[in-house]
Amino acid sequence: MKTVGFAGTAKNTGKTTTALHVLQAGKEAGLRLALTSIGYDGENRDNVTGLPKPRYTLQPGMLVATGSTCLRSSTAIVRAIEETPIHTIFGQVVVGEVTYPGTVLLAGPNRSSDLQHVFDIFTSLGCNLALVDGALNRLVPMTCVDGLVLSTGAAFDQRISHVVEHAGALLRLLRMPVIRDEVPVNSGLWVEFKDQTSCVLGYGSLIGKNLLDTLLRTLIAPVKKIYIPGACDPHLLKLLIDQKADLLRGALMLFRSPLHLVASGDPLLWKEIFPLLEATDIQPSSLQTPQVFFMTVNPFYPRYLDRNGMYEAAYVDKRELLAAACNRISEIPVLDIFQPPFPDVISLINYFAELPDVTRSLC
Amino acid sequence: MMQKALDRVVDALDVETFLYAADEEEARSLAEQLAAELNLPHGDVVFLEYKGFGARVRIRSYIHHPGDRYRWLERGSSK
Amino acid sequence: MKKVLLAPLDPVHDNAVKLLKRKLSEAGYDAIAMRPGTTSEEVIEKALEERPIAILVSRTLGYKVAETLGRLVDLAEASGLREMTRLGVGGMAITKETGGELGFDACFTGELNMTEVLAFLEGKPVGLQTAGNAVAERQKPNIVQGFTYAFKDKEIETLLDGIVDQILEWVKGKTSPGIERAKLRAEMLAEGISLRSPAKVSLTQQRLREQYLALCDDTIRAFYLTDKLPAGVRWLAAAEIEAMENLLGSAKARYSPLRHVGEKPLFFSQYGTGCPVMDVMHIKVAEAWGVDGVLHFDPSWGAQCEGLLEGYLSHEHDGTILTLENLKFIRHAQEPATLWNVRGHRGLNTPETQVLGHAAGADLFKINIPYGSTAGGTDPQRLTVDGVYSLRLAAEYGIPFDIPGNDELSGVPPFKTFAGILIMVALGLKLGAKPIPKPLLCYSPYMTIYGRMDDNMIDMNIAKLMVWREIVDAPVWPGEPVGFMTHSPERVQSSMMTAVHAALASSMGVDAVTIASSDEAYSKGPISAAARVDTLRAVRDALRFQGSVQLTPTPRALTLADEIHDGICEVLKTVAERGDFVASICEGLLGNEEDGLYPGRIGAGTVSGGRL
Repeated sequence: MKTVGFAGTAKNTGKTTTALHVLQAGKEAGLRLALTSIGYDGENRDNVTGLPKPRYTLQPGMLVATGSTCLRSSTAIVRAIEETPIHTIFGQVVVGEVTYPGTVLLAGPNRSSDLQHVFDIFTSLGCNLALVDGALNRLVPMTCVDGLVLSTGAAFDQRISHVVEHAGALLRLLRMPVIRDEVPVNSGLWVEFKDQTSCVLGYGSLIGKNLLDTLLRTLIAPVKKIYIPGACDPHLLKLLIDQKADLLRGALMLFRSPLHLVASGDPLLWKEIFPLLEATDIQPSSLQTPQVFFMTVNPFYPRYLDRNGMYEAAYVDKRELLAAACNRISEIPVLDIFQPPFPDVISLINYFAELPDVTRSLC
Repeated sequence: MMQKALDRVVDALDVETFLYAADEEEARSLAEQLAAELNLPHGDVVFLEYKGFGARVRIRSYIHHPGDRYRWLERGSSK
Repeated sequence: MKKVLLAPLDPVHDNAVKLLKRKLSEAGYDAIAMRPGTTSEEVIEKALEERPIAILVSRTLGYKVAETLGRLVDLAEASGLREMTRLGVGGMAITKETGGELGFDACFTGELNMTEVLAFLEGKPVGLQTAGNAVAERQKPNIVQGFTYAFKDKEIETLLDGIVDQILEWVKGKTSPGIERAKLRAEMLAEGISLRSPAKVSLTQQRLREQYLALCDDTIRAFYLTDKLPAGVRWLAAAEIEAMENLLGSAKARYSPLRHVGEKPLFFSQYGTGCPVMDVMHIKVAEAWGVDGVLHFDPSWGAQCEGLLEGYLSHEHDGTILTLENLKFIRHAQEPATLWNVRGHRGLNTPETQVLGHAAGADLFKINIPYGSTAGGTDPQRLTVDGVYSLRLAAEYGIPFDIPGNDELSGVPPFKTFAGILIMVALGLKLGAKPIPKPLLCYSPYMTIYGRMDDNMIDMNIAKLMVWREIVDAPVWPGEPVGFMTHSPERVQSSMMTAVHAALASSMGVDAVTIASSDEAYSKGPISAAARVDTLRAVRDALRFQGSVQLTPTPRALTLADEIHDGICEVLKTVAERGDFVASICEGLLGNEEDGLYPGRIGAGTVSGGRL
């Protein structure tokens, strides 16, 4: 089973529309599909802006994992197959099969460990492709998916140059080199010195001044490898490098996943960190990272109206946005679901390894 | 088929507003006219208070009367 | 001590956090509050240091705030906190959907609900699923518990003794079609027989049916013999009953009492839309908005007709038809802790109503002979015989009965109404039942004509409540509903008048209060569900405003209480001297034509046996 997470850089960047597009393509390709969410999705209107939102409409045979109370508010009829022990605000997560088409309210597991549990059930039910609707700007629970589809656009920022700059930085972060390395299981922050000695700090994260101070006190000899499994504040990392450049030179700096770094700081901040690491000859790597299958851009944004405190739909120039994004991002395909070209998204997801070089030629 | 929101009105639908009117009589007639314009069946003026230049008014229409067959019950039948 | 981290994540406001810190500390938690302006990183850093069982975030919601909260959740996950620390969010603008979208484990919407917060901290799932738990654990309150029924006014006690003895002597050997039907109905229930059973007719059923129908009016006989329904009545389809049960099966609201402090008064709403399905919807609305009990109202024609119907029946006018099926359906839909009153204080089916009410699970009855046998009601002889029999049933079933004083609405002064209620109190006690007097808080014709409330509406109402405390140690339940004749069709005015009356009664330490809907004074259509909510919201806020503050009676209130007290004594003396309770009613000693009261005539000449 292939698992794909859909994540947006902000609300209203089009991840649901993109996921619906993939769902439709998967149905046409005859795949057994499953859908869940790491947040809540399925309202007719955005609960902050009040603007209409796309809804997940599912067809018979599709699998879904959602909160038990959501099933009652869905127009689709879902036959419950398995009740999981996972609790959400919307009741226990239930895995079921759609028997009558209609819209579905989604509220699935919100932690990666729980998401993995749902994937196991989907697999046992013969699912080929599972889609995970991402929560607002939340990526860490996606650690266990095979790959991501990112959505960005004017809802993130109306300045096209800023949107593409941010998208480029995000992609650079997500495409951090992956290495298979031996690290202590369930470790805290772990340091191996060049003299073969090592030490573990209780907290797995580099976050907050106190934790930085502890780490600074610990680094007293040349470092061979440093593993930060949790969150890592880019500002603190910069301070660490500034103060211990001599001891860290040539070290391997290992993270659990680049998603943990996205959660810890803006990709544009991380963009400034990489040259610093390079200059100090520190090699940043991660133990695991999902692939990024493709990215979508969306010209829509909700414009706030001062006169009545409401929002209205507004758009930046869609061609300009797509062209700018394609120009900046060469590593993966960039699409606008509603603008040509319209590549086969299933092949983008399923056969990425064999994918022909469509990236730049698409634009 | 998707139910209309009106089908989910348990019993009465009230419309409250302030009507600009020359006198109470006109206000009442406007209130009744408003109910008709809004397609409210059997609109009734529950409350009307006129002062000087307009009226505070509440107009009521029963979407479901006790004893009717309630369309909101259909949700209970389908599941 | 378990630690909880409280984070305002707001540049300025942290009132909710301060409140929560106090409440959590009281509940035995080590609540660590962070300052306003704290960043997500600082919250996570603190959490990594303190290892709390939960982080509770308080925040108002704006467009970019959602991203900030989402980031906190993601950061908590990235730093490995979520495996041992649960995340909750609350705030006035936070919705369950937003909380879910942002990935929180719990979301607290609206006003602070500590029961929910504590349940969450104890690791129970919060939200829709816990809604039912609190309700299931709630015990059904007992209004009469703790009252001795000892008379503090010995003179009144002596007078009542004499009156009650005369009543019991007078009813000896007498019966009525109402009593006989009640006996037949009890036999049918014991045998599991209904008059409409389509199955094989047994000899017993045949006998009971014949005997019962012989005691019924034509309308009721036609129903059983030719399936003819009374005007405006229709059968409810099984599908309608089932659909309503399905709707209820998937919905449960958290019980949140109207009271801000204390356990009393209990709040009651009346229902009787005509349709049991609509009634159930209204009861569920009233329960969801905080009532403790409901009162069943039957159609007025049902009280004027000998015999009761059977089956699931809907009626297109006010009052819901008394049948065992209707009653059971309505009872079944109620929360287990909801108190349920089935009234039978008037009319020709009073004894049978107690039998059916008991069979359907009623918690309270409503019986008042003087009120029920005046003002277009039942013949005083008939209701006295039926009433006494009904009180015996109430005693046998152990079901308390309340005594409404709504004859005040005709123009009867309170002291006469109260004298009648007191006779019922003493009669009930003598027969082993538990009475609950219900003085009416109202702006009655007597008050307007004699200007007793020209200055204010507080003194007289206080006096009417005080006097009960002076006379007997019994529960007091102002009704029915409070604020009668002060309401207008304007819903704010109407709700406010109910609310101030409810608050006044509450400050006087009463045991229960019956409240109106904001449609109380609207006569051209049935009460709407929304109108029930209006009043319940108003009462809740009035009680919040008032808290445990108690009113001190003014000198004028004390004078009025004395006047009423003296008046009651005078009336009881006259009734005792007359030596005939029924004649006292007929002759207007408990309210005469000048008071707007006339003896009832329905069922005249139907009492048999004994000395008439």
